[in-house]
Amino acid sequence: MLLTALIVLPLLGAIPLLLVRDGNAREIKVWAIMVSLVTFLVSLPLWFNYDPDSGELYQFVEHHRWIHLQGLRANFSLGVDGFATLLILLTTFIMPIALLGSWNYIKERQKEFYIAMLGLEAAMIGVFAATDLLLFYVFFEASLIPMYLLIGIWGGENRIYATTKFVLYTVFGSLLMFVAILFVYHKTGGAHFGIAHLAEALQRCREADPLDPSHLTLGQEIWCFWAFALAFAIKIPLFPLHTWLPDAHVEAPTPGSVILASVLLKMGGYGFLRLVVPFFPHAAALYAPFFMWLSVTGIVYGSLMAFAQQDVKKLIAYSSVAHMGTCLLGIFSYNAIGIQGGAYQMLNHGISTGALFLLAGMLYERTHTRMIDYYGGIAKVVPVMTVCFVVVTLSSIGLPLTNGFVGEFSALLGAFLAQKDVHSCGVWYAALGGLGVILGAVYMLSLVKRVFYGKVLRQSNERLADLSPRELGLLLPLLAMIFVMGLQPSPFFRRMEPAVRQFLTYAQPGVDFAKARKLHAHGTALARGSGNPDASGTGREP
Amino acid sequence: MNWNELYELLPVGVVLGTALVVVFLDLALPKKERYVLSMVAMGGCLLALGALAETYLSIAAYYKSTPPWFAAAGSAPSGGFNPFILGGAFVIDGFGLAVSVVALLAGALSILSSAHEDLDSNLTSGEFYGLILLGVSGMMLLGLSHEFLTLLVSLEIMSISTYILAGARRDTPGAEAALKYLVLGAFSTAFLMMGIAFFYGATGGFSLAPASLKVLEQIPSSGYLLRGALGLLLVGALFKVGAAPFHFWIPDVYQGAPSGVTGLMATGVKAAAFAVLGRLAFETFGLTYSYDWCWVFAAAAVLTMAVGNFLALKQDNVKRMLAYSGIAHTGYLLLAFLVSRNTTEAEAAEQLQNAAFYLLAYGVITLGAFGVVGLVREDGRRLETFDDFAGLAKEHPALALCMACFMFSLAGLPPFAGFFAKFLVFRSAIDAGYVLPAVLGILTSVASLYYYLRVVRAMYLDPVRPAALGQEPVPARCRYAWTSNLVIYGAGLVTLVLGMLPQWLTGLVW
Repeated sequence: MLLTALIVLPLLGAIPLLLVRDGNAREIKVWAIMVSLVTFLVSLPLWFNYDPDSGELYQFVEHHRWIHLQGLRANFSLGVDGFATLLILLTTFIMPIALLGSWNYIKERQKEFYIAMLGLEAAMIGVFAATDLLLFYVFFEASLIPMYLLIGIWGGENRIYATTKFVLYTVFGSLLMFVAILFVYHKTGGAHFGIAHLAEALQRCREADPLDPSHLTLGQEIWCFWAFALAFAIKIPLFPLHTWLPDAHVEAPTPGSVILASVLLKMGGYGFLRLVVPFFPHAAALYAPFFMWLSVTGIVYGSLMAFAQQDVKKLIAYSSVAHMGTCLLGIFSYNAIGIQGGAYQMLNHGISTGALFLLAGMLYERTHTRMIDYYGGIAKVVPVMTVCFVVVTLSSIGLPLTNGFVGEFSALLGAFLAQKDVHSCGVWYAALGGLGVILGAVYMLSLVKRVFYGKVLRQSNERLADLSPRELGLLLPLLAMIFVMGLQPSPFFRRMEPAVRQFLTYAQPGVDFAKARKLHAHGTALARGSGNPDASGTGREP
Repeated sequence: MNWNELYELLPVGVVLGTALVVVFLDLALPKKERYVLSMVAMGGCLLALGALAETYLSIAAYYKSTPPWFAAAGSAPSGGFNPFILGGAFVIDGFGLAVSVVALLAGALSILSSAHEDLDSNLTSGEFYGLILLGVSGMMLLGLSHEFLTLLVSLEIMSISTYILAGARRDTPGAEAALKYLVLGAFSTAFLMMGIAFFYGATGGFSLAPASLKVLEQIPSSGYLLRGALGLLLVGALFKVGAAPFHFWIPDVYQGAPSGVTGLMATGVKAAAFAVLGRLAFETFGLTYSYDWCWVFAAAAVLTMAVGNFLALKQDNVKRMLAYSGIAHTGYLLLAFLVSRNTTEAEAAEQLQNAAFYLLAYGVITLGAFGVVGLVREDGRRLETFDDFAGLAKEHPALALCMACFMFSLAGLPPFAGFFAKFLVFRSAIDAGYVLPAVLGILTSVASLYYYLRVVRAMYLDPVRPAALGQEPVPARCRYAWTSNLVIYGAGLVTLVLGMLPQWLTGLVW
């Protein structure tokens, strides 16, 4: 019941907000923050009671009947493995911080704002907790609605363009996935929508006799793979599909940016880990080099673009593109260290980029501009803020002792090691990814230098207020996590291990590229043969 | 003739009776007390719903489980009950009853959402309610018809009522709508009649499901006649549901008609027209007919979705946008009617259930949306463009929330009813092996999100602009009408509940 409680709590908490008047601003804020704090406390057993050694991959499992029609079985099934546990904890951890960060930022229609945020939290937890594909899809899509409103109502100048672009991009991908889900369900015989069941049933379909109607040809697998991968590649976002992200980030209000960067992007990576590769391992193996190249392109391109930005938030947005590239690099390296690194990097990015957006929001609240050139030399004026910013920056560029180092190092190591058996270009991926790390240091440190160091450029900046206790209070947990995760990563890695093993057993069969290509050739030959009954007959008995 | 058989048609009788009562009551009542008429009409609809439930339960007693969707295909009833009544003119089966329910609900809700109109306008007169009820009785009979003659007569009862209703406001757009509807409707009926004539020529009878079809198909002379009948009947039926390329009448008619009537046309009339299509696709030229003509539906579905969704993009009038969106939804619905030759009876029944769910969900959402459109006004001037919705969220948060639910639901986003409706029909198409139409359809529906979001954007995101230079900006205001609000809030609730727990409805019916 814990997971259901986690989904329901924010929704229940939103109901009283519907009923109160908009005037009671303070009460509304306090109530929303309390609800999210309670949700966080309720989610803590996920950390303490998740036992990676118990042999059960999915824990806190629940099954309830949801839709049972003729030939349609979807259940309200929840359960978490290592990845999901950590991502849910990230969600519940970030949420109170983001809400507290919006204390002064949101001045209009506060009631609706907090309702949207709490609804978003429920949807995000649902995405990570669902073990039923249809339920997953419902939460995945439902999370769009509050985010659309968050950017569209409380966003900046160009918010309508940004939010429309965000929604249309995301929906384009997920609607194709919608058809692919239906196809997969049809192909596997339509028992039910359980994710683990579908992965195994698809395996059986691949192994079925090619003349059997239930046989999943490689061609079909590739189409479905692309439909799924496109949805999550847009969400993550992968290099050529990333263009919605800078717009959305720049226009979104600070708490919206924090949630978008910290949690929503993770749905993309989670989708690759949970659905894309386990469902379609052969197609994934076939296109893994392609995704590796796109990832490293994204890393380098995102870093270069970040370097060129004048807008603090846009800079952080492009750095997100680079960091999420590292995550995908780790996932597609097909070895334990790489996958763990990629997943760890998702958590790191959630914490450090969330903190960066909060800090950018604090700067903006003080000066009402996000232009880097406006600042300069404010380290003397706001020393505490400077310290916080520098610590977060160091985490973002992956300095040892911080969490970023662990994640980036493991992911790049995974990519490097992959050259042994998976990717012949593994060295290049690692080298280009490493170049991205260096570029990351370049743009982040230059950002720090241009904003905080040097001479104070503007007189008005000499009177900037340093962090208030509230602001410091909401940054401290993030700063603490940066060091905890940097110094003691093993509890996190240990929780991910069973999930990684499971991922590798799903993914391994098609990892041999030569074999995958051969299979492809074989598949097309079969497809050509099956058009002509005589040919396929002789094909079977030469 | 057997009186017991007529008893099965009691719900239709109740509706017809109420229609007469309302018309005559109007003569006796002073103008001030006209509001009684809408109550009487509503009462008649509720009574008919009760009678319908009674009919359902009484025939369910003859079957071991629930009554079959098609009496001809399902298991035989016990106790000497014959589902084909009045010599085979009508049939009492699950499909017909489901269409009747949708028609009655559509009628009741459109009466409710018209009840707030001025007491001296035509929209509150006895003949207005009488015509709605008459149209509803036509829709119900259309769902139950099992002979081409009764089918044609029911169709005309429905159509003639709605031709008049479209022009009920007696203004220029209303007259244009009514005339356009009449001319094009008559045009399509001509196709239908020619198809019936061909069919009579081939089979020598009017039955919708002649047993000899399989044999006759093999004989060249009657086989060609049947092909001709199929083509003409399909054109007629596609005209009535408003599928591309026969969709031209829809936007003008929907825009010109009063909002309540538009709601009725978009739900009840559409459901009844789909009933004709369903009978043709599954019974007459269904699984026993060997020529696989479903590609016609597949092509029409893709074309309809594309036309509806892309033309809706450039509309500025919300009603017109909803009309084009209705065309697109006709396309989605056509997907549920794709039957392949190796579809089994059970799968066909499942597809129809999916279609019924879609019709019901779409009907509720559309009636709610037209209810909101009918309320948004200022100083008696109807405001229907997107800009006129600006600021609605501030002035009327509850109504705006419902409208947003309807829009997200029409766009097919979870957790709203529209998502599951769409899910079910696309599943039908994929299970029947039509993957390509499904993919093309889903791609066009990306565009649909844009124009549905325009309404949400206007209500929530856009600043209120002044209507003219130098004027104060006026946010959208709604007329207060508890009857309409009842419809809108009810529809909003149903949209949400059906989206999260679709089992609640489906568990009731099958």
